[in-house]
Amino acid sequence: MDESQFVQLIDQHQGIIHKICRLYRDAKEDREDLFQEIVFQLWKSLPTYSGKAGFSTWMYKVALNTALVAFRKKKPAIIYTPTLPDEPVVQQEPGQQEEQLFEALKKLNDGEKALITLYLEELSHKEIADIIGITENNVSVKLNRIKNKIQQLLKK
Amino acid sequence: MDQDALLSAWRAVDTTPKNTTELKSMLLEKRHPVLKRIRRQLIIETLAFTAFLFVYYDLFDGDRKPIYINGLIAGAMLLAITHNMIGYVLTKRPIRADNLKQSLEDHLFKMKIFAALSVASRALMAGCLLLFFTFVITFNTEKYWILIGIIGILLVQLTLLSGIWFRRIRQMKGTIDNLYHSNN
Repeated sequence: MDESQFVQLIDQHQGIIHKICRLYRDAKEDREDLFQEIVFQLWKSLPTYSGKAGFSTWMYKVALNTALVAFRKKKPAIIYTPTLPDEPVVQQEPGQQEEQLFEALKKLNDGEKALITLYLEELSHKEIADIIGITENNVSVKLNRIKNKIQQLLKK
Repeated sequence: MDQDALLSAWRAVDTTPKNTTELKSMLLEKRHPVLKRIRRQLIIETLAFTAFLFVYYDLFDGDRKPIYINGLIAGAMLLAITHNMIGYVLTKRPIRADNLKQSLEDHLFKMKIFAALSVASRALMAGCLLLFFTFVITFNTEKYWILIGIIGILLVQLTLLSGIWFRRIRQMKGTIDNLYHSNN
């Protein structure tokens, strides 16, 4: 696979990378850095891609690995706004659901985030087990716990 | 939010796509954010240590000290440069494992070795510099207290560095334990 073909594949699947960056990093700048690290790591690791599994399956593995091992800057994200709002900003319904979902997902630990990402990407339990390196049964048990945890977090 | 709503919310996440030109530029090593920082540190420290090695013999009376002290200084500087280069190579190495478990465990193992190398190289460099600069000093009580103070500062720095690595290793171990050993 040459560089152009690789870039085309990344272009088709970059939504996955964006979502992983959103989940594992809070600040926009950190998400941009992580996105770049993931794409670079995918390119460097391309010779190890055997083609046995689908490209997206291999991408999940490399992207999640990169997100989990990359160093995080400890400084808190400070967001400056030009003016203070007089009233709380109320978002439209679809955006609100998305924000609620990510607020809950961010409270999971790194391992749980990896599992739930693969579940929400609608991979089968077998595919998730192969990527994570655990048994299918273990995937079912862990996902049930994580889904219950998310429901509890969303109720608060 | 029920399961279907969770999946719908996830599918609807806004992911503003990057164009192919931007994606292509990310394949370049010089654009990698972490490698850029390591490269900058590597260049600055290599220049500084090399400059020191060129001038220390005349400027700091290297000829008045035994060969082994000069050898230790050069060795310590080279070790520090080697440590930075190893960090650079480790950061850009590709992921080879079959699954996340193997690659995380492999990463943890290498992190522990690199952490030990990091602390050891800094300790050795500090020790060699101290030995070099104090070799020809005739100590009195006041000078001994100053030396103790300097050693104290160096120990604090090494403790802080060790703490940074300890926290990183603990975080990685925590991630692995949560994924593979947790019964929660």
